[in-house]
Amino acid sequence: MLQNSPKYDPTIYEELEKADWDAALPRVLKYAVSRAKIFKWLGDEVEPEALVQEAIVRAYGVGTRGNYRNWNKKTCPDLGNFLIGIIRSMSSHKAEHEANFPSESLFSEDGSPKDAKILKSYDEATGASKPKTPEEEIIENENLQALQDELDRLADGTEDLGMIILCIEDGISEPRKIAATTGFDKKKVNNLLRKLRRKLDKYNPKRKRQSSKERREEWI
Amino acid sequence: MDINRTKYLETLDTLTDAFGRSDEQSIEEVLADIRDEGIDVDAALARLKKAQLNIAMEAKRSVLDSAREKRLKLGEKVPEFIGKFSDWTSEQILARIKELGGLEAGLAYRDLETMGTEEMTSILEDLEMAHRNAMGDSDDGE
Repeated sequence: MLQNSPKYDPTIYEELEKADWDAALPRVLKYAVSRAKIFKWLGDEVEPEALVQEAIVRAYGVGTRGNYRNWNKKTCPDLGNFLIGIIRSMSSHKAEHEANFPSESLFSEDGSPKDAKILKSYDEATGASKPKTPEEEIIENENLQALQDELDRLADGTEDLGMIILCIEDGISEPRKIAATTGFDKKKVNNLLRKLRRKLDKYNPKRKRQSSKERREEWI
Repeated sequence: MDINRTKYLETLDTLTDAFGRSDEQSIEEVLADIRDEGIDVDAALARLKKAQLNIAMEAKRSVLDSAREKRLKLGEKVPEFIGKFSDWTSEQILARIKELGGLEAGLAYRDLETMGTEEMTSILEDLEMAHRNAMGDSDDGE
């Protein structure tokens, strides 16, 4: 049984019931697929669906380690944006991500819980996070440097991509703002972002000897 | 290796945020982008929808369970509504259950209408407790 945080407002359930999940989930999944790359490029592994599921359990007030988010429809009327915001904050480099959520999906192919015990105890299980070893720190740093070198190489190779990468390095992520900064139209920005993503997908980061999940299992 | 780790991590954050944005995309473009990542989008979305329904049901059950625990812990300090429903008809109880959160109860107890009055009364007391907790304890923020 999942456990509600005492500070979660269960009256939000009604809003969640009324929300258009079919419209929200594709956008949320797309975002999770992109954010899962953070872990991959650092040499780790997190399933995009695990990120979406953790966002959903937090929205329902029963997130890992008591994490919850009260949906304020006045400030964030769109369910998709609300869930994307949860994924953004829990996968941000400022978050202790690996301690905060399961790295694999909790549910089977048919959407049912993989194991009743997981739902009962995954809170405790994921609460224990083994600290990174010096070797893992080194692998992460090497991967970060290699990715940065790849971005520099791509920026030097094509002027248009270079401008997109410059925007990214300046902290600009919204296509609308990138378009305003570069003078490109939004369609061109989206096409260049897609091109950049495909090029970076060829980058093979060095894998850590153990994934976060394996480390946790050993640590518990 | 001496690198500007914070700066590189910020770039990684911004990069993946930019790749994931779909603010002004049509649903078809969003689905095409997911497929482009090699993901069976229909299967993934079906799994997520089912997971959402399961999570919703489990979460609602947990609210009722917490309320039940709280009610049992109250011991001598029995709230005024406990026992109040014992004279109610099953129709009255069902109507109040639906009023207080029929969807929650409906999802969690699919055969609500086939239950005996005593069991329904117990559920109603839990719902009343959950309702009062929500009214009294609701908070905002993380």
